[in-house]
Amino acid sequence: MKKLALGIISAFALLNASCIKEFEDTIDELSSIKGVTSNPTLAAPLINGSINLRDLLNDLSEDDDVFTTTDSEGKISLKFFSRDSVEEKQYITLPNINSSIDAIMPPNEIPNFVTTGKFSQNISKDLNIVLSGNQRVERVVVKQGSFNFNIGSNFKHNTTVKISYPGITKNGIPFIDSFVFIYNGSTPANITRSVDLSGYEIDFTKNGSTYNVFSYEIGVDITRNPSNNVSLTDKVSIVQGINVTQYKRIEGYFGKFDIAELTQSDELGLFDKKLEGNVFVENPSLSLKLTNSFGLPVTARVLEIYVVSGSGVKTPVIINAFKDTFALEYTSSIDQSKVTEYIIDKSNSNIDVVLNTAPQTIYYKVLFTANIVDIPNPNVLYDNTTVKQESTLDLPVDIKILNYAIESDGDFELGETLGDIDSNVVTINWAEVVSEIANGLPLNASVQVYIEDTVTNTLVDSIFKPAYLILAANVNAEGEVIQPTKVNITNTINKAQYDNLKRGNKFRLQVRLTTPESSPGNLPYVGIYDYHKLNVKIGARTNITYRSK
Amino acid sequence: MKNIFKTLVLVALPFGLLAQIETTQPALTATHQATYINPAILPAYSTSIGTPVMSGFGLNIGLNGLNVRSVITSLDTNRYLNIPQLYNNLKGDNIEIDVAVNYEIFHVRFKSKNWYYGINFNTRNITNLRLSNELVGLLANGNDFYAGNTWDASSTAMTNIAFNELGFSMARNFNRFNVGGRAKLYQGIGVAQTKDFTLKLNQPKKPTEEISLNAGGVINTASIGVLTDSVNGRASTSDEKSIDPKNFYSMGNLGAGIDLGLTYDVNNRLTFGASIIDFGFINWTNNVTNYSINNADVRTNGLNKEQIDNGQKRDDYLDSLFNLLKPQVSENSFTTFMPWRFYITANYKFNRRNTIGAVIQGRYLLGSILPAYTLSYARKIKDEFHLTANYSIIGNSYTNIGLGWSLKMGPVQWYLMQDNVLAYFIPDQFQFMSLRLGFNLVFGEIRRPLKVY
Repeated sequence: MKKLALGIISAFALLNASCIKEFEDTIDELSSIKGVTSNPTLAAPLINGSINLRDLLNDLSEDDDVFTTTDSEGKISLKFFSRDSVEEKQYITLPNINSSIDAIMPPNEIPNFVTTGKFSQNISKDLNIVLSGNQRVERVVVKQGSFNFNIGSNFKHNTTVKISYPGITKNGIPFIDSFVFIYNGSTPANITRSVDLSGYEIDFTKNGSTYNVFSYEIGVDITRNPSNNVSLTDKVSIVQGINVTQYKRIEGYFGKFDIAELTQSDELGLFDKKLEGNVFVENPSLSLKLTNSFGLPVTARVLEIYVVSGSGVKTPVIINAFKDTFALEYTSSIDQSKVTEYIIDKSNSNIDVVLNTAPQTIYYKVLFTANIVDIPNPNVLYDNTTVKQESTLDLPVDIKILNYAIESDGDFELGETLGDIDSNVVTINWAEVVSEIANGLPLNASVQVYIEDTVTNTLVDSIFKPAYLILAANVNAEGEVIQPTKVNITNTINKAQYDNLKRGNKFRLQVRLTTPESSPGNLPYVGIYDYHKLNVKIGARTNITYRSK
Repeated sequence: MKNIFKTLVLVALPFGLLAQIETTQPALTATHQATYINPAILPAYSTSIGTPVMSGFGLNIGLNGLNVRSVITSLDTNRYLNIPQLYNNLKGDNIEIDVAVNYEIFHVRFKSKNWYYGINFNTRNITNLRLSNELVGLLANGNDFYAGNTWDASSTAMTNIAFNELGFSMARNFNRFNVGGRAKLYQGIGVAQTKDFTLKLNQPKKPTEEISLNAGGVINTASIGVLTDSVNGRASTSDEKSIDPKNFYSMGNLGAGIDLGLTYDVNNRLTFGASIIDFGFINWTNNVTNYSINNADVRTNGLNKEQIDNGQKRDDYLDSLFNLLKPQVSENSFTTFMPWRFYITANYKFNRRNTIGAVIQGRYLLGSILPAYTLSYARKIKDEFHLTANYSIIGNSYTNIGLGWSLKMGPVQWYLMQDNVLAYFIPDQFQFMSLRLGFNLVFGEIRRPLKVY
């Protein structure tokens, strides 16, 4: 039995041994595998979005002062915005108000003074303020100013001087000041005093009865010193001066004067860099929105408007002569202002014709004048009085376009992104960009993406060959969109093109727009609305070869 | 390293048997190990003791859907594995890799009056990995290959269970019937198992259209460490991420199972048998983690204008897509059911030495039953030496010839079983590798009288 068992076991062992080579060959085959390789085609949707002209213009605008709006019907307007303002300053200078007066004791009062030992005298005085022309000052609230006194007495008696100014008040209380001179055997020294007038209101109307008048009252009281006499040359001398350097508010009438000239310009950024062809805008307008805090009649006059083309040619905008000047509303309330809007459009100018020359910049100059008719009327000015000018060049997109190219650029990082992928491991054999576009814009669009190398400043390649041409949506006779145009495009990027693209570091997207002819040779104006959209679906297929290290 | 690999394969390759499918063992009834197929089989010896450490070792490796030839014929001239070619070489719908290890630490079986009692302690590991062929297809062809169709890899599943098994068996004869059973206590060591796995990609006809990915399912694990950086918003600790050796003997994951068997002598030559094995479960409560994706439906048709213009919104959008695929992590106990098997046998004895047999068996796992059909011949050459050979159809594999023997020298019984000796001749086409061998100490041969019915 043992022999039999041993025989079977030995046969088993021999069987194993005879097959070893086959096993080894199999194992050698398996262990000689260097890696894996595959050749998949990957597909994925990349973009599914819709865009209207407003989005496109907003994206392409690099200037915060260029933006788009829509009206209540959804019509898109392109707007260029700028603002300026007149400097806040003291437009009116109030002259110094100086007064000098002597008070004496009349000779016939001396006996009585000797008898009674007392003498009193009151003096009322009105000073006229001299202003040029027919200017008037009625009230001033002082922001910065002073009241200076130099008062002396050479009586050999004790003297008190009291001065009252009913027209100078603070919180309703008139300004009063007193000066006392005590005689002790020698003449007392003059008293000089300076009072800060900040916050005081000075009335020059004598309670509303007149203007340009400054009034005050002086009271002199003398108490006799029995050992001294009175000389006819004894007197009380009063010198005073008001100096208002800044007002917080001033009322009156300040005559005709030029406030300022504001010169502004709008860089028409989109036209500037991107326009190559001609764009015709049907209803352009320039809106001047003026915010006036002057409390007096202000007139604005558009001195000039002109545009400058790419070649430097100036073309003036001619405004109807009767409509280039307009009055601003004004307020008499402190810290309030009034807004006046003035629109320059094709009803009062040739701005539509001028803007259709594809300008780069628009310049305009406006002169602001106060009291232009120079007839006295209530004026009020504040220390922060100004005129703010906001101008908006409004281009409602009722347009016809012969050839309008919009460009946008940005970093292109394909090479950098793929730099981490070992080209010995992954090889991109080809790629396809599949696009489904539904054009709801009444404009033909030709789209191209250029890839550039900014280091060598060379054009490396373009994505589409040729450029995508997306025809405009079908429009009716009024230029209204009735049906979007659909287009399916498959663009293959071969390996050579792919290698080129990896060398680029910047992309430049160019969208060339044209208005389709309504009939041969006839380009209609078409309105662009917010709901006119370009629906874009883009997907990609990429075939790669993967080979592990 | 290459030589080590060769050696391992050379040793293991001859012992072909589909994992968990055992075609030779049912016919080798002289060994105690035959009772692991049908506990009603009455042993040939009154006492059998597994020799410590060497009592029994079983290794089963099964491949379905591909074999070595599938791989070798997919190599290109530069010795790179061409995945598209491999995809074409795959058979069926899935690649299945089964590995089962059964290490019998010891067993004792003895007769007391008319009953046979036994105790066994085994350490086992069952791994079943089923990968949908479409996973390979996606790597091979890319998703565009499926344009207009649904790519579906939902048949992908995985089970890996490591456990200790303590079994108590009883068997006896009742006239024409032998009945037997084995009650088992399972002590789970570690597990990773998928449940309700779904992975589908709806690929549109055109790349401009919406693409959607449906994913769902649960991966339950226990005692293998946390696989994510956080659990319920709390950062995972390094202890949680590591495997604790205590899991090998921890009683935190317990289960129970049963083997039941029956044989019936139709007459003194023909015997039918039936059994069900490993019908049980383990309830996992210790160091459990559940990673679940609740039917995520990730759809994208590309970026819209706002996302193109705004990098933050673009990132938010892409993050939101990926977050849908982020598993929710919880720590709930769960139950895994054993990959149970059944055997239906018929044996016809020509005489005391020669027996032919037939076996129909099946293994249930991952929602399906893998069947196998076996015809066998067994010869008792001497009382000490039993030899058996068989032919089997396993799944869709028709080239399986098994061989096994048991040899008793003194009290030592050496057994060796292998199911696919054809692997010797066509090693690149083998699909099943199996080995079961060991040494028993047996005493008291039982010479049963030939029954006459």
